[in-house]
Amino acid sequence: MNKKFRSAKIIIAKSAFYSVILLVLIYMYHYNHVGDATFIYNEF
Amino acid sequence: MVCMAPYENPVYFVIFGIAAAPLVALSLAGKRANWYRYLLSLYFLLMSFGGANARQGIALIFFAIFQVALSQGYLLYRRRRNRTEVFILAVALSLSPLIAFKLSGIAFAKLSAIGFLGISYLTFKSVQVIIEMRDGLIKHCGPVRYIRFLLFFPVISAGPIDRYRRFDAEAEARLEPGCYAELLEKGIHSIFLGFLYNHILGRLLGGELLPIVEDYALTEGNVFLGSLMYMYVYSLYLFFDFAGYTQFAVGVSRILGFDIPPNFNKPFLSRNMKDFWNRWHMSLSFWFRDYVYMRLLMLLMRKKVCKSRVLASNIAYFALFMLMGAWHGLTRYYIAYGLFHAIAMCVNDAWLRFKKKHRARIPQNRLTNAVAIALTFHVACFGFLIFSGFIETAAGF
Repeated sequence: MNKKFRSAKIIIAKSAFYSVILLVLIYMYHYNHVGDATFIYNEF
Repeated sequence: MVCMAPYENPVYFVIFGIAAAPLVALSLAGKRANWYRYLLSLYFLLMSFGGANARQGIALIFFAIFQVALSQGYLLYRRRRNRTEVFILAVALSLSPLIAFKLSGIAFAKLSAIGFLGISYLTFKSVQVIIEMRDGLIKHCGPVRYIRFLLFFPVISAGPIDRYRRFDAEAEARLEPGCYAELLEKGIHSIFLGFLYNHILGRLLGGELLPIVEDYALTEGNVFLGSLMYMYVYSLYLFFDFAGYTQFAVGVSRILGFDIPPNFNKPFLSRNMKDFWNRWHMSLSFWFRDYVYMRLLMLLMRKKVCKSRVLASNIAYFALFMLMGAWHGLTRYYIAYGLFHAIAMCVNDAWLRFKKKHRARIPQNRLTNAVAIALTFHVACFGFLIFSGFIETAAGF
């Protein structure tokens, strides 16, 4: 029972984390019109 | 076809998700489906090196043909003979496109046409294969397997720098559905961490906060405090930018069924500089450790150039970090960055020897560990301040 409860908590936490990331990305790219990402180590 | 650099915006991941869906289904059924992987690789290579980047694509094709011919030629030779001069020549030839490209920035502008995104990382992989052929660790390496390793698209632009034997064993191994499901879950998690690190935190630090502290230091005349703030912000930006990119590369590789090595392991919690280099840009620092530091150290000791192991080790540190600095670019601040880390490592080793000798008198507890972490963090951050070139700008060079 405890194991199942722990797994459910992990799934909910991960889903919440992924949803927040997606919402922030949508805000940044759709509403804030940020440009493409640059990677500093691509320069080397 | 849409053309874009790897991972530059969320559209890349949407395209990857659609294109990789059949592979995910096949992998969950326990099939490696290498043919689909090759198709996927070709598509994503064309996406990054086609269209407006076609010149880079042509340079990449010539580079790959050259490295395949070189590695196959050296392997054929190595099966019969093992002369040091031939090995040195093979390594020098393998390095030559990268050296020519790096020199093109300062002297031979025309040579810049041979450069492409990821030339450094592909060169590191190529040289590693030649060295391990010389050591007798790689005995078989057909051109298709070599190309599969060299042009593995998730890591092509900035690593992590994988090792041929590890990658090849994984590519040939049977894919257990249960293991793949776990890998898939970890891969998706890595991609979301990458978004958080790179697209969100890296962008906030590098795009929003860094110009503010730069302005505070340079135009408002608060040079010392501004530089200090710049040092912290730039260090965190560098970490989140690069660690985020690595999370993308690791995540995409995992979805393709490859558990490639990580590049970062909580570097800002390191207790000393040696520990730091075991946690920061790990695949590069391990490459330099294995193929520059260790080999030079052994050579210096074996040829009796140095009687003292400590002196030999310090010379090898200088060679390693000066080379690493020069690889970043032939500019004063990159060379100074290499020099700074060489000195830091020599001091660090001297301290570790002293500590070992006086173990009974030097306390080790939570407080000393916290002090060690804080000190290492500041040494590393000061290194990044040198690396950023900001000191030169602030000093008006």
